[in-house]
Amino acid sequence: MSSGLLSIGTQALNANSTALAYTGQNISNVNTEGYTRQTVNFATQEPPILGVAIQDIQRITDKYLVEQVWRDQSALSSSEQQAKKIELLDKLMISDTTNLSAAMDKYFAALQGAVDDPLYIANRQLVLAEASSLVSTFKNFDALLEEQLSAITTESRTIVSSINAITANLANLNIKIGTLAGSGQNYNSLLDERDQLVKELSRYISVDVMSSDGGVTQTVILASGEPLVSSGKAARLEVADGNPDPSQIQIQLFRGASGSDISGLLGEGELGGLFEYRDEILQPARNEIGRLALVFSETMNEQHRKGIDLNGLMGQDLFVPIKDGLYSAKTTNQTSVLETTRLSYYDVGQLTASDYEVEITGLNTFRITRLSDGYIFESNKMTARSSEAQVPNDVPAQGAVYFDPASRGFTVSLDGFIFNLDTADTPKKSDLFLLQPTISGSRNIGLAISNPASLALASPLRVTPNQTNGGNTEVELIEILDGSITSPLRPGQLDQPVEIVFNAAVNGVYTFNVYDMSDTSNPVLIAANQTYTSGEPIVVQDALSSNDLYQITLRNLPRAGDRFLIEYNTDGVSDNTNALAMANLQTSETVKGFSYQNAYGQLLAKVGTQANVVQVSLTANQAILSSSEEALESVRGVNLDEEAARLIQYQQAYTASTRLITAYQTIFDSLISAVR
Amino acid sequence: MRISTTQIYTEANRNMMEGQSELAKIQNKISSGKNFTSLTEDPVGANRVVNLKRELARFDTFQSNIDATRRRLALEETTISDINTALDRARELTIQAANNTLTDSDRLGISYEFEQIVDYVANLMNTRDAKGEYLFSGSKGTTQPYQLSSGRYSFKGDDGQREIQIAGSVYLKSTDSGREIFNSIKGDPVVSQFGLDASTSSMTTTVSDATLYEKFVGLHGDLTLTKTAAGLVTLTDSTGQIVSDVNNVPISGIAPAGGVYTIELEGSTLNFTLGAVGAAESTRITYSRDDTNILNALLDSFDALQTSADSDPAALAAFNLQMATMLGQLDVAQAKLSETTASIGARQKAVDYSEYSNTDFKLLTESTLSSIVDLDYAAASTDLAKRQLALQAAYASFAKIQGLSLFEYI
Repeated sequence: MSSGLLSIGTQALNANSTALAYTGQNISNVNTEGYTRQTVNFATQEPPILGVAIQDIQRITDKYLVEQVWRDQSALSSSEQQAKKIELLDKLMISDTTNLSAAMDKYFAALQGAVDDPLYIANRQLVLAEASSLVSTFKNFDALLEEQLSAITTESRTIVSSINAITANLANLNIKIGTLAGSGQNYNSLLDERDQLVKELSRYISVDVMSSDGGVTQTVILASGEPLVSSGKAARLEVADGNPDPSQIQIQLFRGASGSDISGLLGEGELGGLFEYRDEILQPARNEIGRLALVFSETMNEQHRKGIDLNGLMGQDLFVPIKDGLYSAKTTNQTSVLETTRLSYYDVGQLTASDYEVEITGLNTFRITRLSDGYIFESNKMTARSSEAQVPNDVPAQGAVYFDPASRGFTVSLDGFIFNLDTADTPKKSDLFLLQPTISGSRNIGLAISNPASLALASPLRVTPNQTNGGNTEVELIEILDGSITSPLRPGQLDQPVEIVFNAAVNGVYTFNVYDMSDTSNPVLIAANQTYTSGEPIVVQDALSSNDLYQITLRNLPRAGDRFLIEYNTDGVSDNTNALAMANLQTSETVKGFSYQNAYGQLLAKVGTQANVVQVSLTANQAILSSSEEALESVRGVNLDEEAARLIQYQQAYTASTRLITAYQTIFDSLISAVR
Repeated sequence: MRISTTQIYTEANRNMMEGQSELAKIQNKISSGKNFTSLTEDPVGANRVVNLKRELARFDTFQSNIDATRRRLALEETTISDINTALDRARELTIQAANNTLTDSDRLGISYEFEQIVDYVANLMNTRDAKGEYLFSGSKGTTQPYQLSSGRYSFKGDDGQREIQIAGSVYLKSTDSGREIFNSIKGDPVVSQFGLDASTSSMTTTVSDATLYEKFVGLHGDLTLTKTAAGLVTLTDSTGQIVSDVNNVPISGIAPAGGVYTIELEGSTLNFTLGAVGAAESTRITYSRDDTNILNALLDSFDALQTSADSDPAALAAFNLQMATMLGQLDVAQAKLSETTASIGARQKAVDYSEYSNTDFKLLTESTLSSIVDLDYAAASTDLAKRQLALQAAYASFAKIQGLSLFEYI
């Protein structure tokens, strides 16, 4: 019995001193991040032995709350990344110095100055200066956005190496924990360390954990179910060039030698946030600005080419013509694409700011998907053309296509662009191509004119009403229809000056004749008895090619014999007709039904809404994470007051246990002295 | 509910941080005076701001267009007024010179002043604006509009007029062409034909009454004379109808003797010499007037004044005719000048009205912009006080709870 008392006492001493030690552990780790408090569970010894033993050291935590915190951390990190990145876009769009609408206002103001007085060289110089400034604003915008894209690449690399370091650590921990568990030692602090690592990992990428042996080894899986860490092995993540567009990087998961693309499976977390920002906000914004630059420069050029400059020559391109978009082929493609493959434009006003994917589905069949809304163009629904040159003309809504029998490639036109695929052999099924018609527009815009005298602000044609005209007819508008590089007006002359002569009215309807006045002493009749309708444009065609050259609109009724001479506007340097036409482009519906600045405003509203949504998510996620962390801490966090009370409790028990030993000693002494 | 020690501090910390950041945001708004500084805070508002700023920029542009137009029209007005004054003097001189009691030397004296007036008016017609552009040469701004050659002035500009936008949908012509203003005098009538074979045929014309003939042309347009191979001549008008001559005889199927044929129309006589029978011919007959201006009219009078007419009744009669013609031409010219002045005045009024409405619209736009962009200081100051209070309370409450621990008591 007495030896029982000694052993009971000793056991009690041990148990209580262990309990005290763990209370001390809790108290000293009160500020340790991720520390889970431990409590000591006592249990009685198995009968017939008496005494107390430590049953286990329990780690007080809630598995579900821990995993909740990880998920909420991922969501928050994703929002934080997106909010940081969108801040730049926000400032760019709204700041007076970088905002494209403000730059356009200045350009059009300068143009109106030239409308007032086109002869004054200073006005012309101001137009060129503002045009140059507008070009810089476009390029700057694009440069900053592209910089953001490469920043995303750099940041992704950093994140990926952090992820790899963490997963390697997790794998090691799994092994260490396994060893300790096997030898029966307390590995609670290693469990804490492992949980902290997973929390840090979930900041970068969404993960989940599974365990088949009660928590000893833990498998970390991605949102898609792919294992990242399984027992002692960690898979590796790598940043790889995008396919087919290398600048749009992808994340690959390597478990061994081969990698698989997990860019779409990143879930939330910083990496997911970056990629979501890139795909949903950054790239569409680049496409929109690119399209604006394309449409702006092309429509300005088209109008500018219809005017004449101070030297009497037809206008050249005001802005550097942007002729090509970007296309890329998937690296796994088997079709050999020739260098003559091109992505060009037939009508920039039809461009959507979307990327397109071309997939070869069979012999002379392919499918084009518009990536912004998923709309699919099938090649068998497209209008077939009989030659490559006809493809860009009168393109129907579903597109037009020409299959080249020689090269087996094809030319297709839809949504404003033409894609001409030249191949050395038949395109192979399942091959993919990415078309980006608008993304490089803002990068490629440039000013092509530096000499103010070359600004084509005047009309190439002059209409002179005859002195004796007695009717009320006046010229409302004269519009050039063919301002192309091959226009017959280019050599600085009108080969065929014409005179419109009105005939007497028959039943109130006036008709007119048109005479070729190349030789004023011998006018030649080219059109007779054309019906005159006030306000209706009269189209005049080129003598040689019969293409529509220009049209003149006359208003009000004439008197018989009234005549109007149309000739080249030689020395017409004070004329501002073309400057006015260019200035009026500011309010024309040029970008798929919107004016330039309205299209910009739409992008502004879109980015603003997205930024607002991100901000709201950020605030919400911050609150959600706080609340789940609080919930977790209330379970596993150390409360000093509670530990203080426990300290007293175990101290007293310890003191009481020492008394047992003292009692035993007293009994033993009594026994010994009794026997003597 | 259980709470851990660190939680107490984390919570308090978070609240204080939040309080500070909110306070900083409000302070930023107050010091910048702007309601929002990023798209995130108000995306719809930001979009409206961009549109409103564009409207304001356009109003500024319209205002500079208006200023430029005003200057231009004012210069035109004074120039035309000066020309009118000179023509008044020319009129006085003409009336004075028409007095038949004057002698050659008197008339010679008057002619010198006429010469001065011509030079003065020509100079005014060739006025350039401050930047060196000719006012009245239409769109040929670097070409002098009235140039002297062989003793007479001809108009070398064109009819172009510059259009300027002075409001959203208001366009105004800011320039006038000299041809419109100064070439209002009707020159000699010219009847031309296009189509006769010059080696065999020709046409000569006499216009006895230009006004009458012009009216005739106004009803019929260009005329076409056709001669069939058999030698029959028909005259049709621009609608293909057969024309009757002044005696209402339709000119159709006439066989001129020897190919010589005279047609008498209202106000003019056309004499044709047509080619041999056997060849078909057709020709188009058009009508126009010589382009002339008041300077040339004045020079005609100058020449007349310099011509000796003493004791020469024929010369005197010719002189008197020229003086009478001069008065008539001055009437026409000055009527046109006054018409132009009225047109300039009307345009100046239009410019003024546009300026008023532009100013009104601009004011409206600015106040709309301000209501979106500018900070409501009253609300912001209240907010500032509120947040200040909240932060102070957070500090005070933290001080109170942070000293509480069981360890203080054991």
